[in-house]
Amino acid sequence: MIKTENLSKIFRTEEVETKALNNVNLHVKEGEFVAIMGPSGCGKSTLLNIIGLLDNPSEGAYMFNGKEVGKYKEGSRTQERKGNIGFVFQSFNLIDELTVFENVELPLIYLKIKASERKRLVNEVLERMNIGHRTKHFPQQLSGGQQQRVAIARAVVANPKLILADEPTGNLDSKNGMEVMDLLTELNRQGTTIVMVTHSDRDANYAHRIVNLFDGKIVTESRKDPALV
Amino acid sequence: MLIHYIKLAIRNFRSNKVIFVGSLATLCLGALCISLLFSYVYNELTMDDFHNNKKDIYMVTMKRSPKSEWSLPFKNNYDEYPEVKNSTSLINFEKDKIRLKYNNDIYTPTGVVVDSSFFKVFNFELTIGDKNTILNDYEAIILTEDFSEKLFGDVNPIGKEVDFESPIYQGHHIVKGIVKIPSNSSLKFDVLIPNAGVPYGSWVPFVRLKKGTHKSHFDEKIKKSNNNYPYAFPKLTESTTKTVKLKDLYFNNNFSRIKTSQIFSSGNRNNVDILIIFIFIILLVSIFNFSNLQIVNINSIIKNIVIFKINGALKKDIYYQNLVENIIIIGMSAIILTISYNLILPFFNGFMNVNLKPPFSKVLLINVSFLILITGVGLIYPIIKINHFSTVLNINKKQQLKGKQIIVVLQYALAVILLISSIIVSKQLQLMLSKDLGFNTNNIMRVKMYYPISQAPIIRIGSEEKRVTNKKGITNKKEIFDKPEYIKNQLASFSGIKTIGQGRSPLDIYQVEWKTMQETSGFESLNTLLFSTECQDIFGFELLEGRLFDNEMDHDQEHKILINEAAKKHLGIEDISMTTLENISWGKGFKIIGVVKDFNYEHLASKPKPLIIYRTRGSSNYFILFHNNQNQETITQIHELFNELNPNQAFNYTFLSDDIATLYKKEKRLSTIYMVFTIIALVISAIGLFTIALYDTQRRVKEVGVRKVNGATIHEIMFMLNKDFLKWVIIAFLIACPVAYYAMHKWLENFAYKTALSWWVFALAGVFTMVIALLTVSWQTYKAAAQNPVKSLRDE
Repeated sequence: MIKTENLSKIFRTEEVETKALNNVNLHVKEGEFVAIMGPSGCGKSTLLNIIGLLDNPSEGAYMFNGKEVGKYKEGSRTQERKGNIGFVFQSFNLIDELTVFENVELPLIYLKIKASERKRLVNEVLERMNIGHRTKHFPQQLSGGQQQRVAIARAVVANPKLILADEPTGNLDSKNGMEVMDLLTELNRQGTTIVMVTHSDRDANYAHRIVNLFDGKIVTESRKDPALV
Repeated sequence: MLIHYIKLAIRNFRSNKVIFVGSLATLCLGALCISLLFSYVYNELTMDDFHNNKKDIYMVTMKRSPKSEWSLPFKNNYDEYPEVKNSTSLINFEKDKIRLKYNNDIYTPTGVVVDSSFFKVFNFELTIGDKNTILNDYEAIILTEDFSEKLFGDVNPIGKEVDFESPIYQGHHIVKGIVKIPSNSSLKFDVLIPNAGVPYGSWVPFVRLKKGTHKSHFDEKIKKSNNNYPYAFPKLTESTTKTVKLKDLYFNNNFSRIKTSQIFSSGNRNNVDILIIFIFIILLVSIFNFSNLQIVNINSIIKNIVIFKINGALKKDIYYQNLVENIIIIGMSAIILTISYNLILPFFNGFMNVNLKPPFSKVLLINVSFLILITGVGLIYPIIKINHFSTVLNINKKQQLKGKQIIVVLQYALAVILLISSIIVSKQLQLMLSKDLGFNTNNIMRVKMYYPISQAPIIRIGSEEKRVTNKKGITNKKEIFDKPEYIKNQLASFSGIKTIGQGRSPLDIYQVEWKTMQETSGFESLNTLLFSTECQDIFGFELLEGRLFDNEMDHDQEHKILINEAAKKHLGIEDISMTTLENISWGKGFKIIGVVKDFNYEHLASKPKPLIIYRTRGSSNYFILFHNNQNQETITQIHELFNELNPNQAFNYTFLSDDIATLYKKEKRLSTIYMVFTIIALVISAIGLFTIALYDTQRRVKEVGVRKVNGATIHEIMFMLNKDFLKWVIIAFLIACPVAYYAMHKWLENFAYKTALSWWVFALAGVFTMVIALLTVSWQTYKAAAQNPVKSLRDE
């Protein structure tokens, strides 16, 4: 599903040039659950942004679903992303002005799905996430754990094949964090590919495979025994 | 999708209330000012455009001699020229010369006696009556809608009988038509009377030329048509006749002599141009402000934009979202604006002395156009910037739209220019109102004590067409000279009165053709003042050489005159005893008995002009100098005397000092208008600064917290935050000063007496703007500075 070849990303300002990613070769198969780990500033989020088609690499190739998308313009990237990729962030990134229902509905609106169908899909996913009773609330009225479940609901409502999670438990206490990880694991079990950036060893243990990044390079990769998962 | 956009827009307005209210206020205030001023300016610039043949309508005018001013020609019908499609003429009455009697009430409308071709040249619409026949009905009188309402209220005016009286004509008429005068008509009147053969008067001839006729060609043909004109006095040999396009008459000052009556209104192109500049500045200030508010708005919703994009929104979805928000704002503004426009228009009309009645659809169209213009232009910059946003950078770090500072600087610079200009304009007005004019203007009452009976009235009774020539002319003449004696004796017996004089007001001067006997290049129009000997004391003229008039030494109709310094200089007179003057109508041999010091009898835009003073008695216009103040008891006594002489007439009087203030009414009005719109421009700018201060300070809450933890006091923090905002205002002030200085320097060139461009005006404008800005900003910065750092740091 995801295949990068010698992927590099360079950020330039007037004075400094920073190589955030340096010849990264990563291969993620459909149905996998991959955790990307590494210290702050090692390039984890940059890699996730490129994988999520939010940004382009400076060099190298990126094949998504068999298509070379590394050179896509923003519009094409959005088209490719729509319905295929869902995002979960550390800071939830919900729209404060929209209710739980409306936040989850957002990707479906841009996919131009009919209102009745939207309603069905949203209610279904909210039930699954166990926040069906909170549909009319605004994000500020919810706890952190509940907000993250709404964010996950939004990420999966369009039934994407890939979910990208950027430190999804970073702002949560351990109980809520575990609940979120359980949800992601459940989604993966149902067939969704998950790539997750994390600092937490415990969270990483939910993954099939852990990729360690350091200074923009993959330094180690460890694969867990599928039988243990 | 649309519902989603609308829902989101409303939610956005709710969570960014200040921006929303600020945007609405900017649009409503800005567009309201612009729409009102635009309506006024548009009306001025389209003056007389409603006449179908506006391009072919001309007034015929004449110069009695090459150096004369333009005045009315003797010849008033030009039908014999093949170029003329229709020729019409109307009688031009001076102020207060017409009276209309209905039910024992006497009105003094502005009225015009017109011939039967009037409606063939001018396109006034009759709401009642037939244009083609009504002017052939000598019994008819046509009233304007407004005047009819004044006279009869809601009662149907048709068939009502009124008496019309003017110095040269009086008759009994029946209301048979109602005419509509558009607000952009320079010809303004209350009544139209068909001409039943008025023998003489000041006819104003108009012609409608055939399509395609060249003005210059026609002018050449009529050039000498008033020379040696039969029955005319004086006989002219050097006169020039030409046409002036009706369309060019309104803004033209060269015809002031013809336009002394109330039926011709005059415009001032200079003032219209200044208002156009005001419209542009307020438009720019509104655009800048709206642009700034949009930048702040986008900065506050950047996170949302990024989330939308991550969830599949394309750029166009973001634009549509923005578009929907702005259409909602425009729609709401249009409603508020149109309601407030209609509420304010009557006051604006009253204040500007116009009668604008634009139809609702036009008001809405104008308002919506200006709203779209402001929002459209205001959005260009934010939209371009939003296009260059990086989605990635904004997920975690906030990217901010820049450029607010420059816009604030420009906006404030414009507001300060307006402020400085408005202060200078009102300072100039003060100078003109308080300047010593060089003659006494205090405690002088001007009153018309009686109305001379028409000297050759034509009286029509009922429908009978009976023309009666008044053969008792002698009696009338006697009356004219008898009455003054009686009035004078009565007035003299009132204790509150010091001196009584008769004559024309120095403010209501008229021009007569004069020349020195030696002069060979012909007559020229000079300001001429006619009054009785006593007026010299009343006005307190200062004598420079020779003597003043003296009732012992001077007698009626003697050829003796006083002149002012300017006239002496202008006519190149060395020794007044060696020079005599000749008048085109009154003959030769006018001896100059003295020279008076120049005094300002005209608007202070100009220096005193040459003036000839001729002694006369017998004017029904009185000047009464009160002892020390304008006491009510004496006014009542005069009123009673007036009633005795003129039963059923309205007693009208003015004080000369008020007449002088009236000269500056237009300036006063404009000065107030400038001030009001300047304040609105400042308010709009303050809305922008307030919003920016609110959002920028919120962004710096963490910085404030860190500084406070490290020992900064509230004052230091406020100083730091305020400094950043006030810096822009100071830069704006520095830009504004030279621009305003230059503009005002230019403007003051219009005046003979100029107010100084004092430094304190600039300082005042600067300090005022700074104080307002400081208050606006401090409201926000104090909140930020006073916040507990524990809270602000935890929030982050």
